[in-house]
Amino acid sequence: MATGYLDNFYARLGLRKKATAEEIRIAYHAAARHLHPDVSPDPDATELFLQVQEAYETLSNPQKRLAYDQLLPDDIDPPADVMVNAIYSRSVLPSMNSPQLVYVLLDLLSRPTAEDRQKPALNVCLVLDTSTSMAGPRLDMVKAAATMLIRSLKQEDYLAVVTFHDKAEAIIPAERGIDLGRIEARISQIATGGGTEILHGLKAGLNEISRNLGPSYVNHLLLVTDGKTYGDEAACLELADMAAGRGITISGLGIGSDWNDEFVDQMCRKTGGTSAYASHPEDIKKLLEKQFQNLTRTYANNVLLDYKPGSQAELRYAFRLSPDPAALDITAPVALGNIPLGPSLSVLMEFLVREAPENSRPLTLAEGDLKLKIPTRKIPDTTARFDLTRMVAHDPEPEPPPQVLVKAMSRLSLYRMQEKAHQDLQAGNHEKATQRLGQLAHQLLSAGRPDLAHTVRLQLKELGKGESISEDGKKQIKYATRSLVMPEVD
Amino acid sequence: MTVQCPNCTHENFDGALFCAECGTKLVNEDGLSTAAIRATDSGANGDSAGPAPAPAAPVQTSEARVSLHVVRTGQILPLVGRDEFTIGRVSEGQSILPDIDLTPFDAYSQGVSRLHATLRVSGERIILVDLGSSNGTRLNNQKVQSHREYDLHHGDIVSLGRFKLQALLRQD
Repeated sequence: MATGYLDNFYARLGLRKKATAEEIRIAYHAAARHLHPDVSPDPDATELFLQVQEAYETLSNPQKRLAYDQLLPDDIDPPADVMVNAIYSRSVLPSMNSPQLVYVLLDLLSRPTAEDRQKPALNVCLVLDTSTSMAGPRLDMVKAAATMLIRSLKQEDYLAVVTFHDKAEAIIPAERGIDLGRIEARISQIATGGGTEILHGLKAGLNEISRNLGPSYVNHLLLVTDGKTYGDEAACLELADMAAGRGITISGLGIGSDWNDEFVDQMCRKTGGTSAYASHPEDIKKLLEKQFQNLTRTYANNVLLDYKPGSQAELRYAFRLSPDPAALDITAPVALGNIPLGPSLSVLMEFLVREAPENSRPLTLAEGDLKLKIPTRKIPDTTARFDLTRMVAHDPEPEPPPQVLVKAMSRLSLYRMQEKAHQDLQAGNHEKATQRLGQLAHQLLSAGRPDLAHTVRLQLKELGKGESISEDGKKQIKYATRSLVMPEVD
Repeated sequence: MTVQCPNCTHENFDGALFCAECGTKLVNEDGLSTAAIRATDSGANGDSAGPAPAPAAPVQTSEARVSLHVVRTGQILPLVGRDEFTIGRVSEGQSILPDIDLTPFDAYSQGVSRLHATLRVSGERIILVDLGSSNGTRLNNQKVQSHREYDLHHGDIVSLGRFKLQALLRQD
């Protein structure tokens, strides 16, 4: 029976403990609209729906609810209007004195009231790389995409545009109720020159966002770049940490083969954002539009898991499956990103339990606070206590891990393999990397992606000749395997 | 305990779903490890190699020709009084009720439908039919087709969604 701080029947329906019978009914119907197997196109929704249904069957029955309430800790207070479901790979951990892995799928779904249906106001800055290499189709496409995004803004949205190469300029300082004609003229005048120094652009961009920074906005910096920045990476990461602390998210769009995806990823990840890759200039518009759409469809943002691992547990890996697949930074607090209006924010976590002694009390994987911000609310900030725990028993009945977890892991394992292969390469272990890429090619073939398997084989050839693998191929494989995690997107 | 990958022989941590080295799936549809389980831990159940065998069927004692053994809890449900039984769970506002209600066994979270399957006694045969349940029925781990007849034998495991029942037939 789920009686944890965030693993309980109230949290599953996004309700507070004092919810009325009517509120419970409404919450259940809202959840059913998203998750019912008859309406949800997502086959994985079934297991989530069963969780919600189990919660409803107890809470809708006054006697059962009373009995259930007595099992709960006195001080639980689930965040109202976010439905929290946790699905574990094992319902009970077998007791053992050697390590075991436990997977947890944490699913956060919006349960907006009528007024939250409105889109939140944006406070956005576009930070555009205008180094020499951007000249030509790249810059043309970025200009076209920027113009298109600006046309879609609402009256109350703040927008700024910063261009940078070896220095930065706010060509459009943060403003709202903008004069489209003037701004489009400014954008069309953007010219190129100089190298890529991201720190300048980042500083100027954050400066523009800070002018109107507030919890009732979606505060976001969108970086578009095509080059490597040299020497200022550490300072950029520090700025990203600061931005995260102030509720500003950063996402990146890299164009072509020369930008440093690992660095941009690392920077975005600190804030809950992610990077995208445009191998051709034609992809720029679509990718920028998608990143922008994610912002306008935000229900809650700055979702943070401020956790402490249990004494026997360690968080080894965390990956956001939706809305925007990305590996997450596992140092606490973990920035999870946004909960969109509609689909859920879904995060897969891998815990290593060093030792699980038999005990009458549950074993804690992690505990702490779940923090989030709903910009359209009068009081946007919400904090709820959470814990992820499992009972331990001697030799429990073997049981199948939930399908939703197995499916997610099977899609994720391809991404993780390329990730590991590149870690091997960086560590100078060519033999290991070769072996792993060979396995990846094999798995991609059986996953029905001969095109990607071919790209991997080309890399293997280069490695075999003692050459380093191409940046292009490496990025292609990384972003393609990442998009496989959520096949319905793309 | 570790789980050895059948493909690349990498020793994975217990509980791993996919091999950390080569990405091979380490669990089958029923969640039991397909790989050999090696015990390096004396406290664990050391001598089980390979997929766990079906639990031994308890001895049939009741009068009933057929009983169902709830694998998870060990309870035995004798089927008496008629020749055909529907199996499912009861929920509010449901007009047709199953003959065997699995609600007390946490059936909904295990994926049992309201009317999930029937068991029919016909001469010597015991026949299982899935009634088009949402999560399907498995007989000894093989998925059965809806609305088709399958013969049950003593010790067979029937999974309704993830809910496991073992068929116990009186042997005379």
